[in-house]
Amino acid sequence: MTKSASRASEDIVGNDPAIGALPVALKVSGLHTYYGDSHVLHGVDLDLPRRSIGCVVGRNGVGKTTLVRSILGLSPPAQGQVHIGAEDVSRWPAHRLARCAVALVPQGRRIFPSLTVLEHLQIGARTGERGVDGLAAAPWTIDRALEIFPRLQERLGHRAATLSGGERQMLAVARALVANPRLLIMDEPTEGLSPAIVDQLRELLLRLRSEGVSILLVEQNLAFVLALADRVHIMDKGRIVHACSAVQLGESPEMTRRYLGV
Amino acid sequence: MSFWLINALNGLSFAMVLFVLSAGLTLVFGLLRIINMAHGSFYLLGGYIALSVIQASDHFMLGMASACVAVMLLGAAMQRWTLARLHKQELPQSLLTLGFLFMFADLAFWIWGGNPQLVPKPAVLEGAIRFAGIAYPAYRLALIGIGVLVAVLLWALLEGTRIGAVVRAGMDDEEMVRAMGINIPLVFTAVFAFGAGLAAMGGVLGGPLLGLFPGADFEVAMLAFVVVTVGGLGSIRGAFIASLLVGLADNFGTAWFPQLSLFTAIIPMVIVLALRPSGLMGRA
Repeated sequence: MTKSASRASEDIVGNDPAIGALPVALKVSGLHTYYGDSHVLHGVDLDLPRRSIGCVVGRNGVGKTTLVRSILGLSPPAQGQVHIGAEDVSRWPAHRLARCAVALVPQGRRIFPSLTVLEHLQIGARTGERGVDGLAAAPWTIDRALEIFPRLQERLGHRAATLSGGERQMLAVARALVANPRLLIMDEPTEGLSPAIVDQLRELLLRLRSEGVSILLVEQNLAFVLALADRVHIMDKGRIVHACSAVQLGESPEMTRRYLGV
Repeated sequence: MSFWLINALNGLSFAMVLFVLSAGLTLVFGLLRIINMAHGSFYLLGGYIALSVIQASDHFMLGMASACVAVMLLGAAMQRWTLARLHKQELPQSLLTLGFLFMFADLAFWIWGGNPQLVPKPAVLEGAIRFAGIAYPAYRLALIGIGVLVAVLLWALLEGTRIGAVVRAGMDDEEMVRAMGINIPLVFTAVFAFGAGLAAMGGVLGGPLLGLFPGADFEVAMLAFVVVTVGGLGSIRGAFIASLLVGLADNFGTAWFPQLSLFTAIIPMVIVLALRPSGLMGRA
């Protein structure tokens, strides 16, 4: 690659220096989002303290994925605010938000079929702002991410289209890891994973939390939620209807039946 | 024997002009999802700008460089200030580019007039080269080399650089690329401008061969659409193979059945689309 091409590539994918120092921890208030005429989010309120794992649970179709998209600026909210630290990011374009250390592991993985495993990590890699917000641990380089997922190491030069479902999910997680997020948002990460990989994922999330990362987890897998969540937000018909600790949710079969149908 | 050789070389050199032109169109379609009707205008304007610069300076390369830069800037402005406002609205975008096609055609007619004009060849490529019992124009041979070179460079850019990976990722899933912090609006403008520049380059390369005249924009755009459709939308490799098919079919077709000339260029499209509706290298 020529020097000027590499320069241009930094301009397109580089970090935005002006907004590098935002403290993280997410606050969503009164969020309303529409898809065309359909009113999906009816005033969502949610707080995610720093260095914690907050889970959003609820049946299919209650607006969990829309909430994730609205937080990230992919489906801009019609009303309400999203704060990351002290900053109101509700009207920010998605790419700007991602540059201040917010990473997404989306529902359905959404890996790029025509890119190799390595290319995913290369375009996803960001130095992030380690050091602020208590992130004292060493940054997630591509090599460190591959140590966690040796399977990806073996398939480094393969196109993602050839990966299995489990490998795709590992890639989606690794792609978010190398962005060195302070806020990690995961939408149904355990969907379709084998129990062994789910265990591995749980270990990883606990480790990330101990490194200072704040995690918002949208999940249907109740056992996974109960094992990880510092706080659980139950969502129904476009609202957060109840928030409690994982222990409280685990002790209330009434609540799990009513809102989760299990 | 010499009939086959000459027609094959004619077909190949024409195919390379087609490829340079179509590569830009397929890139723009693959990433921005815009069916750019004005792509032929970039070809024609590129050729005309080069013509004026070469007439004033007597430098072919200077003409080519100024044409590419000028048309890239024009493309960037057009994408940034008009097309970007219609993001994801495919029909309004296409209609807008159709409007640009008419405007640019009138503009070109107003500036350069209605007489067909040939872009002068570079002096070193005047004349013919003798081999295998034929004398063949040096410029056409050079075109084949340039076309292959452009194809290799484009391939290396797309497959071997981070920018290329970003562009391919954007073709796969634009929204996810945005969520990874990549400034997609900027990438869109850059790729549109780059595609416009390739079309201009096609106009300069094809200018000495096919000539520049009112309506050339429409003619080449139609062939470029055939190439892009046959190759598979968004695929550079597909565009290269399809350019060869269309270029050769057009030349041999015209040689054998002169009265069916345009028809023979379309035949590959009919056959390919009947067998593979998404094109040779199309994304499913």
